[in-house]
Amino acid sequence: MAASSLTNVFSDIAEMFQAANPKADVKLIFAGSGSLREQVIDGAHFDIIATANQDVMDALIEAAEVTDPQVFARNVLTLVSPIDQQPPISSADQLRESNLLVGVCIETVPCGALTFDYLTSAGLKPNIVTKEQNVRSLLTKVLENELDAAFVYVTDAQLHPDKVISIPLLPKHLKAANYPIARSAGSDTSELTLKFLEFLSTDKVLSLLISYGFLLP
Amino acid sequence: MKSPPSVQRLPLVVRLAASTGALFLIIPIVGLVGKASWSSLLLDLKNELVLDALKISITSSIAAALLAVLFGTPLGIAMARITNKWSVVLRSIVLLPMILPPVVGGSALLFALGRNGIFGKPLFQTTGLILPYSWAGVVIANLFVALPFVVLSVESGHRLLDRRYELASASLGAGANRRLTSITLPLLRPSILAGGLLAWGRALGEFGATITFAGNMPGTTQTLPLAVYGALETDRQLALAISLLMVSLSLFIVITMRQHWWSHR
Repeated sequence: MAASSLTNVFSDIAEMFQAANPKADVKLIFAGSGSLREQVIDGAHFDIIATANQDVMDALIEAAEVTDPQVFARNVLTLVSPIDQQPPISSADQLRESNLLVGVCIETVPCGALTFDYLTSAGLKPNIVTKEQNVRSLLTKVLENELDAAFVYVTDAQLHPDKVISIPLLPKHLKAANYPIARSAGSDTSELTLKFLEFLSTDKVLSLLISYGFLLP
Repeated sequence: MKSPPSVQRLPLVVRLAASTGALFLIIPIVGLVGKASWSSLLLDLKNELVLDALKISITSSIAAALLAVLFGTPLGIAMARITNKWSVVLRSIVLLPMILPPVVGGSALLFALGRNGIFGKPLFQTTGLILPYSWAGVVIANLFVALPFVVLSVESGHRLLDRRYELASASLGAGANRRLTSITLPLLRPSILAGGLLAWGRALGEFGATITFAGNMPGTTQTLPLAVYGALETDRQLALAISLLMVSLSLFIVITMRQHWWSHR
């Protein structure tokens, strides 16, 4: 199970892992981190879980659902805008203009919590028209030109270089998201599970993470 | 009056299957009621997020149901009278939103009426109007999924009408308008009301088309189902409380509808 912002990179990692271990059959489930936590607490079966923030993982540790958590990647926010936006947005300060339609993730999911941290710290009050439940549905609205700007992860912005431009945010207001990964505390840990976790720190995977725009811990 | 045949006379296998069917529908509601913490229920429901979502849900679903009656009734009557080969095509298109996944309907609305959509773009360029992210956007998403219920109800009601009343009034010299207002519409009243109530219920529960087309903005476009979805990830008790509120609202609609049907049959 993995957070939705890991969709593309984890699909690639799973493919690489299966190529290296023909016996392995990796099944991936993607959802918002909060939704993953609820699924696990409701008894969903999993071997490994990767979330987009530490709070969700802490809650799972407290519920004795997972063990041995490790941060394997980090991510930061950026501001994206449709590539043919007129006039183009060149700095987050332009969001002060109230006629721009701005989308964010809702406060209760990691990308939303980071966004509102940033807005408070930078003293920005943009014209927010939608608070999406996950970063992918937010990005879709930018790709469809239905939003002038949105706060998403750098890694999401990088998936569509031909459709969105990414406007860097001021690092002094910006917090990074940690991506912890852990294995299920419930069932017996299989050899393949441990192999997969080890696989995550191989050079091949690390360079893949970097190519997607993730930061290393 | 003949009493209806008793349930006991049904074959055992039918009674078993009927009980299983009923249980299947009852069990989830029991889960909802059983898991709720009744002591904090009112407190949960009294927060601003819920009250805003309730207001938006009620106003947008009623607006959508009224619009559905306003446009669905004529469409239903027209469809009942069209007999050429195009009626099959028209009927399929009109009924499509009932089967289409609502999220597909929402995307279709976005591509058509969004700020960058085929019709939405000229609308925005000429009037500055943006339908997504607005209360009107919620109504449009609701209307899209609710309209077919009125059309279907009116059309099938019209097919069962005794056409002799209309023929008689025509032979007495009543024009088309007079026949419609004093014969057809009064006779169709039960079908229009039943369709309107179904449309209202469907609009109240709308989720996929709304979140895709109108977005999710507490206080503007966040309806009760959207609030449940958000609360499920953060506050289970709140999600349960809102769900129970939705169950009560839906029950109210179902009971109204039953009473209405009974009084006419």
